[in-house]
Parts: sequence; structure tokens; C-alpha cells
Amino acid sequence: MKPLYRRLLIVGIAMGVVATSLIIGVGQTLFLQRSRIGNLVSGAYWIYHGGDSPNTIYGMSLDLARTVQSWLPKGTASSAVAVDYGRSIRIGPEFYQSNVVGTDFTFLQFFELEVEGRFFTEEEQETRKRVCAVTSDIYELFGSDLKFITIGDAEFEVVGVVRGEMYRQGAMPLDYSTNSVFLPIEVYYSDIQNEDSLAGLVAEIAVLAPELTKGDLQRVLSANLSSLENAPSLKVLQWGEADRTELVRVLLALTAIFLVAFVVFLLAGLNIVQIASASVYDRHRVFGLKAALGAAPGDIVKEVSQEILGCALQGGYLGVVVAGIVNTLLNHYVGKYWAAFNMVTALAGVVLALVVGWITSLIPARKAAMIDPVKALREER
Amino acid sequence: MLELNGISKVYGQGASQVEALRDVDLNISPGEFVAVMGTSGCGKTTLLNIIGCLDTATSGIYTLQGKDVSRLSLKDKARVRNKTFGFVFQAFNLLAEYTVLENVTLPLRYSGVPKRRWKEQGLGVLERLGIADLSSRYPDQLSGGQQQRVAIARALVNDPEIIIADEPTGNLDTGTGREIVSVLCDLVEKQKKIVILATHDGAVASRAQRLLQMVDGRIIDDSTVPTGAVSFSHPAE
Repeated sequence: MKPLYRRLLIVGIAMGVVATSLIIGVGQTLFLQRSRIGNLVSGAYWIYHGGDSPNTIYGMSLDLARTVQSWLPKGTASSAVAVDYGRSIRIGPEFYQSNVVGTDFTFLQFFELEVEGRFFTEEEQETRKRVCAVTSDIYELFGSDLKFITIGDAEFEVVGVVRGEMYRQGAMPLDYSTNSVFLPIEVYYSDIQNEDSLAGLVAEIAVLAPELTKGDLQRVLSANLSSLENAPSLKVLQWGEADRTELVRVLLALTAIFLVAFVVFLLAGLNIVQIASASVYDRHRVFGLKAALGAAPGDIVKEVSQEILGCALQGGYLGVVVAGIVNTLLNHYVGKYWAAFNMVTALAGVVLALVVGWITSLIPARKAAMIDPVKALREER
Repeated sequence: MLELNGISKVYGQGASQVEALRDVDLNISPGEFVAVMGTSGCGKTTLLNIIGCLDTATSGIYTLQGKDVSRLSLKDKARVRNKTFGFVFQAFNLLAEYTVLENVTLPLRYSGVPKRRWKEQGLGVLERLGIADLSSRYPDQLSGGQQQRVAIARALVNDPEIIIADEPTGNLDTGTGREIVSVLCDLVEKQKKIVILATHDGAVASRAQRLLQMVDGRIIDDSTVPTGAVSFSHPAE
């Protein structure tokens, strides 16, 4: 086979492998992620102070958070949340890194949690008692020694252990399910941050209002914000909405990639057959001569198939490398949604290249085997 | 060895139908050097192609080593071409991307000879033809005479019983052509092979033992060649 045909064939097969790995990877991702669309939590919202990105947290003062909470209709549960990430705490003689979460006693209503002991109460919050609840992993680490936690100079009594998922992807800055200590937000401000309620940052306000739509809540905020001087830009997000928006965007992009990959796959397949056929046509006399010298049709089929399979193997290796690079780039852009590219995918790529090579070699190999030696040798060089 | 009875070959259909061979009868025994002469288009090459199992007769019976060739499958015909025949073509038909040795050993690939013996067998036959020193060259580095010797070496590498040479001197000058015919004569005299050679050249044909003269697809004369030059005349002339 001429080097040009060989190179074209290798590139064609590599293209096919890359396209197929994308089709499989993207298809798998679309299949796995599509069920996540539409999981909006009815009546549950976040109010946050931010720009256009739902993940950008500018924060608000506790004073502003309390003002906003006061605008909400009666019977609406809400909880302000302020977080200190990776704060050093002391349990007995040991120091430990944990998330310290200042929140309201209503925080538990937002999640389905098991509580051993209790969460801090409304009364404890109002009287600014130094009490806290911890996640179960911290309790399991320290066991019955976990009676008090010292944060800074303040000592907090541990009144309960919470167990369960406390995370809403895309809407919350942190997963509170593990390694977290919950304490009344006012105490958090005064004893941990050493700030008053006009300073510090409340990350968000969780709102549980089954009778309100997102629009209703936005209208309540707009109506009240207009009366404030230097009104902050407060936004409302339904739980699951950020996820949904991001997911739909990613899935649309992946669908486009899927379609492009499919077209590339078809073109690559066509390209492989065309090049292989052209390579056979180009060596019409050679195959005719070989037939004249005693090559049986099976010998020629074997010879052509071996040639194409050799290219397919090289194309497969090349394709796997390129697919790995493409995967890395896609991983960079669509990160957590992307199906992993692993050894199985790589091996599948090479096997696929061989199968494609074998299938596409059938037509040209058969054409080569059917060349009439008399006609082929009669042709002018 | 080989026997043709009433062999005809028709190409095309209807108005464009051409009868390349008409009712040809022929018997050739081992050790014969047969020259086939005739004008262009008289059916020489068609006859050689049918004898060499490259082509199939439209009608008639061709018996080779006691077997009816028309009953052979494509695979069996390929095997017969590989084992029983050696082909020498006017245009040499060497593969440009293969070395001399690779060209010569090409038929061994299809004959079941183990790969480790290809080189030994190829060099052996090149040695016999006095061109072993050319084994690593490529065809475009050889003269016409050398290329035809390589083609003969390729034809002999499987030690076939019949050599079919279609105008083997057609692309060579007179002196070189004479040398090539001498090589073919040696094959008949020393190795008792059958050589069937198609030529326009009376001088070449004169080296054969038997001469078939063809006109319009028929053998019009089948005679022993007298010593000296052979002349060919078309009946119409």
C-alpha cells in the first residue's frame, strides 16, 4: 500500500475512533444525566446577594438578612446561613479542621435529617447560648469525649448529632453533610467572628414557602428593596434550579458534540472505505499479477485485510491518544458531568478500530480478490 | 501432459461478439518447446491464457495432467497456476516496490513453502540464471534483459513443469532476446520442462521444436520446426 493511502487510512480510522469514543462518552453522559433534569424542589428557595452567576456569593450582613427575613409572609420558614470554612476547632486536647456554620434553629426543616440529642432551640438562639450540633462523622471520630468544642476562645456545649444530606448542588456553596459544626448565627457573629450584625457575611437565606412561587418571592423582595437606600441586588433561586439550568446548558452542548461526532463517524467510515478501495484500484495490476502467479482469492482477501487491519491498529492507538486529549478538554469544560475516559474506553477504542478496519476491508478485499488477471495484465502500465 | 479438444473462446455478446479461439485441438508432452506464431489478434495470448488457467474456455475440454480444468474451482486453478505453471510476460511485470529477490519469491508466498526457505530457493534460481548478484536491487535499477531474467527466475522458483512465455523478447533488443530464448531452451533440454512461447519473431520461433501457426483463432499449422529460420505467412497474403 502506498504511504499516502496508509497515512490517510490511519488518520481516517483514528478519526473514527475519536468520534466513536465521543459518541459513547457523550451518549453515556446524556443517558445518565437526563434523569437529573426537572428535579426542582417545590416551595424551597435560596435568597442570595449576587451577580448573574448563581454560584457567586457576595453575601449580606446579618442585619440585612434579618430585614429580608422580616419581609417574608407569616408562616414562611427561613434560615440565614453564614459559614467559616476549615476553621480550627479544639475538642479536648486535639485540634481539628471543620466548617463552622452559623444558622437559625429552623435550619433542620430544610433537610431530612436524623438527630441524636437535639439541634439548638429558638430559646437558645435568642439567649445566645453557646451550644452546637455536629455532623455524625465528627461524633464518630471523637465518640463520648465529644461534650464540648472550643472555637477561638469560646467553648460550646455539643447538644446533638445530625446525620443526613445537607447539600443542594449548584445552589449551596458547601456540602454541610460532613465535617460541620452548627451553632446559632448571632453567637457565630459575636463570639466567633467578633463582628456585629452589620458586618460579616451571610452567604444565603434558605426559605421554605410552599404557598409562594418564585415570582411571588421576587415580587416581595422587589417591593421592599425599593424602599431601601443603596438597595443590594438580591436574587431568588428555586432549589435545584441552578443545577437544572447548568445541566440543560451542558446537555445541549453535549448533544451538539454528539451530533458532530456522529457526522464525523459517518464521514470517517466513508473515508476508510474510499481510501481502501482506491488503494486496491491503484494496485489493480499488482493483484492481477499475484493472482496469475497463484494467489487464490482467499490469499488476496487475507493480504488486503491484513494491510487494512495494520492501519486500523495504528489508527486505533492514535485515535485513543487523541480521544484522551479531547476528553481532557471536554472534562475541563463540562467537568462533573463528563463520563470518565479510562482503560476500558481506550481498549474499546482499539478493538473498535480493528472491528471497523475488518468490516471496511471486506469490500476492497473482495474487489481485489475478484480482479481478473487477464484483464489486469492486459492494461497498459 | 496437456490436451485441448475443441476449445473455443468467445468474448462479448451479440453484435460485439468476438471469437478469439475456434475449435482448437492441441496435445503437448513433457520436454517440448512449442512456439505459437501469428499476427496480432490471432488468439495466441488467449490460447496461452487458457492453457495457463488464467482464462476459461467458452466450450471444449481442456485436460491437464489428466484432470478436466473446467471443473476446477477458482482456488484450485490458482493452485495449478502456482505449482504447474511459470509465467513470463512481454512487459516483465515485476513489482517496482519489491527487490529482485522479493519479486522472485513472490509465488512461494502462495505455495505453502515455509518462509525460512524463500530466500534459499530464490537465491538458488537466481544463481542458476547467473543474476544472484542482483538480488537486492530494484527492477528500475536493471536493464530490460536483466528484468526478463528475473521474470524467468520468478517463473522457475516453484519448479513448475510448464513455462508459458507470452512474447518474452518483445521488449528486448535482438541480442538480449536471443539470450533469453537460450535460457528457455536450456529449461527444455536440461530440465525437460514444457515451454510454450508466443512470438511474432521467426528467429525466436526457430529455436523451438514445434511451431503452431495461428490465424483468426485457429491453429492452421502444427509442425516440427526445421533447423534454421522460420517464416510465417498469412494465407491471405
